[in-house]
Amino acid sequence: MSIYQRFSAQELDILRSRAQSAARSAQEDESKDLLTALVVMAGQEGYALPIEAVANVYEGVSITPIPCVPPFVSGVANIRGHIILALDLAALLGIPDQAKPETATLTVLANSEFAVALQVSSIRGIESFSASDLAAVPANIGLAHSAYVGGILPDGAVLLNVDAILSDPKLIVGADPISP
Amino acid sequence: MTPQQDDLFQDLLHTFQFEAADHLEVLNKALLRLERTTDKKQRDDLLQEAFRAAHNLKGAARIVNVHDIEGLAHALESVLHQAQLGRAELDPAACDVLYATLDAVKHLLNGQDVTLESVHAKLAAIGGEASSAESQIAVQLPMSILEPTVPSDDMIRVAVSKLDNLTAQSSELAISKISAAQHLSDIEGIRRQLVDLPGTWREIKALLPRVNGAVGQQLLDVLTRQQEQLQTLARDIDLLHQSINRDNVYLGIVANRIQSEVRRVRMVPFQTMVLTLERVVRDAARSEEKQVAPLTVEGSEIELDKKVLEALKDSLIHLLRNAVSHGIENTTARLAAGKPAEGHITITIQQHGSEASIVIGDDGHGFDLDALRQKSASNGGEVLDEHANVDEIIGLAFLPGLTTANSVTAIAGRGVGLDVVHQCVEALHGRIVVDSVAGQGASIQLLVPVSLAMTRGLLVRIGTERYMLPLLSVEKILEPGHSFTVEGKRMITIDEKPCLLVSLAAVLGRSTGNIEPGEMLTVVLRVAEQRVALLVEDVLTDQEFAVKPLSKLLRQVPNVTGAALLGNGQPVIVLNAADLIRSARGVPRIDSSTNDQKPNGQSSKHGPQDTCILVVDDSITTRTLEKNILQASGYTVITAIDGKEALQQLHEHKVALVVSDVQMPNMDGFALTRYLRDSSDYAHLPVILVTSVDSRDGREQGLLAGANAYIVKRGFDQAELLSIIGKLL
Repeated sequence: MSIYQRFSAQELDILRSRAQSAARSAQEDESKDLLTALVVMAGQEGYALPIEAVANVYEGVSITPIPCVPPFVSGVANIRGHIILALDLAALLGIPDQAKPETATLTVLANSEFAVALQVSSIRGIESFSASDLAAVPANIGLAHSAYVGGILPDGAVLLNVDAILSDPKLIVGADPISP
Repeated sequence: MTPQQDDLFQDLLHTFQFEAADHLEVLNKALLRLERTTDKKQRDDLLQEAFRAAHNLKGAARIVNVHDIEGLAHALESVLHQAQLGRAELDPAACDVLYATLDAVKHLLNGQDVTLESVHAKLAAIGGEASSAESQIAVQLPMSILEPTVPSDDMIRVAVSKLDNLTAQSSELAISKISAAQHLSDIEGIRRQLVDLPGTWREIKALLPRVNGAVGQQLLDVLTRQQEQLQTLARDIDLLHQSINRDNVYLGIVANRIQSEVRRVRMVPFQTMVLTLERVVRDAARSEEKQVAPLTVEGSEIELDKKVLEALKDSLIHLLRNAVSHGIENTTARLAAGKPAEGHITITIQQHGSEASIVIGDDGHGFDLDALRQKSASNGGEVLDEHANVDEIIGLAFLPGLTTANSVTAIAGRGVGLDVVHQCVEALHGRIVVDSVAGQGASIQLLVPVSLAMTRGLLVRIGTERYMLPLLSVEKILEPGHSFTVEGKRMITIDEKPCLLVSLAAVLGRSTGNIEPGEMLTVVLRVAEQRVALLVEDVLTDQEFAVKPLSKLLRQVPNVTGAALLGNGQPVIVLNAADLIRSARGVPRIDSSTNDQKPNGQSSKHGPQDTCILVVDDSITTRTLEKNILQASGYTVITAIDGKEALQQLHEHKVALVVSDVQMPNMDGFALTRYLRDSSDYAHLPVILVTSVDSRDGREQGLLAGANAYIVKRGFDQAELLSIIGKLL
């Protein structure tokens, strides 16, 4: 579903290939591999989402909660006429309960299979960094969801592996349907 | 065959399937009428019609090389021809064979296996020729006979999947309409910002004279130009707003029209199913050797969504078979009771707004209430005394898992597939109303939505949240009234019957506003024969909505069907009435002093879905019942049929609690409990023994063996089981 996206799939492909060629030329010039990410806040912590993984950002969205679901499900929102599921990034990452604002900031993920958005505390901005600056995650800090983490940026923001999050079977609610 | 030819042939086969189905319908219809009429002229016409259909079926089968069907059609044709010539008589036994042949053709069309030899043998016995493959048909057909049996003008056949796509697209259109309305309000927002322009301009003009000389003049010129540009912009936006508004109104009208037209396209008259149902009654009467008049159908012109009709088909077949085999008495009994020899079964369809009522009535002996009551009690189900009314007792027959087909049929003589009917109607968000008068007959009313594309819902509020309840399941809305408490559970009286009363917030695990339960409104939900009264803070409105699934990530959320968009674009959660009724039983009790009830769903971090319970019972009924109750409360359930298998399951799974029967083959409940207590791994594993043996001995023996709780089946109560489990975990 991509109607609510700013760009069509084709346009996105063009943009991505442009970004890649731009990144390549930067690499040639500075012999660095440039990555661009949308940095969002979950509570006090900064998390970087690869720009390719983000379809759009919406602020001031009102969320309808869903009863009887795990805490990482924020609820559903109407995004441009579509009912989109919103997941709470902080709860997904095991960050202690955040105060829930009246309206939410959502980053809709560019996922072709199903539409899903991450609810974040705020948006810090788009940042570029070189892949060589990306630090590996220290094994001893005991991140609860190390599979979700792609590395740590120089400023301490954690780069998230969006594919790993979305393909986590733990996220599927009611995977074993109640058989009548 | 080249791939193209193969494709062509596949297309041809597909067409043949449709055509053959038409011929079968004509044949079935003609045979059913033939059996009823004695009028010579009418018989001749019907025979001719049937003969023509059989002949065309044969021809069509030959074209696509389906020799099995060709052979059967040929035999049918020859039997019918003999009958036309007066050389064969189509008595009920012969008709049985012909119907069986039609069914065999139908099965072949559906790609099922058919034992052709036996069909042919039966056909041969009534004069059917074996094969036409070599021997050319002796019958010479006049050209007029070869006309198609089904008129094809002005009609096209459309695959249901295409209609489904169309329906989906039309709902998308409805959503775009909402989205367009939002854009319109965005533009209104921009217009509001421009309202301040003249004021700002006045301020600028007031300040400008204070700027010195030439610069001031230049500034005035530039700003004047800008002001003009802004005014043009404001005007353009105004015009844009007007035209978008006009387009939106038009879009709204067209979208509504398309949606209702698409809905209408999906609607088919009940009539399309009548033939099948007539056959069911006829065949059941034949096999039960009972005298039953042809099925009477009233209101068959009423149209229902194709999906609703399909979903109801099996249920209607079940109910009609039941009516014949268990409702209608045999001729002797009927005559003795002063009834006409022939039993009568009727289906009456009525439409009330978006709801259809389908009543299946018979003039048989009604439900055997005593037997149902006894059977339920001995099954370990609810125990009803002699004061229980008809609805409640018959309701037992519809309870899934409690009264299984075999056990009830054998004794009560009623109940085959009734739980299937219950499930089907529940899936349609409909309900069942049963009426039975001993000796005079029974009627079962199915209330279902006419269409599934749009449903009517009741919007209710708890705290700051709003929820949609499917209106079909809402029986009534009550003002705050008198409630009483039974064993810690709050009840109210509805139609002189006690009904469980819980707050919707408690069932859903949500918090309520500052409102006393005594001031809340009560919404009575009813699915099939089961009811619950839910306390809500407010009932807002009823409206039509198109329900959407929540997300692929949320495959199954307890109590939730999906979401819908309200007119203002706000999503609202649509609740599942059947789930709510089940969940409400799991809410232990209403505590008026606190609002934050323990959520029944899976919202707590250590939800019951992480908790695996092992159910051990050698009776599949009890096993299924317990499994359903526990699963409905969110637990993961595995089962075993005796103590031995239970031990195996315990080795393979991480089990948090065991619910076990006492009397079982191989290893009984006492032995299982003792074994667990003696083992180092399971010494502390909670064990609940459930038994039909209510004796002090049994109780003591159970507790001696080391069981944590001992429940007697006769007093078996879901809430009790759940509450004990809750305490032990």
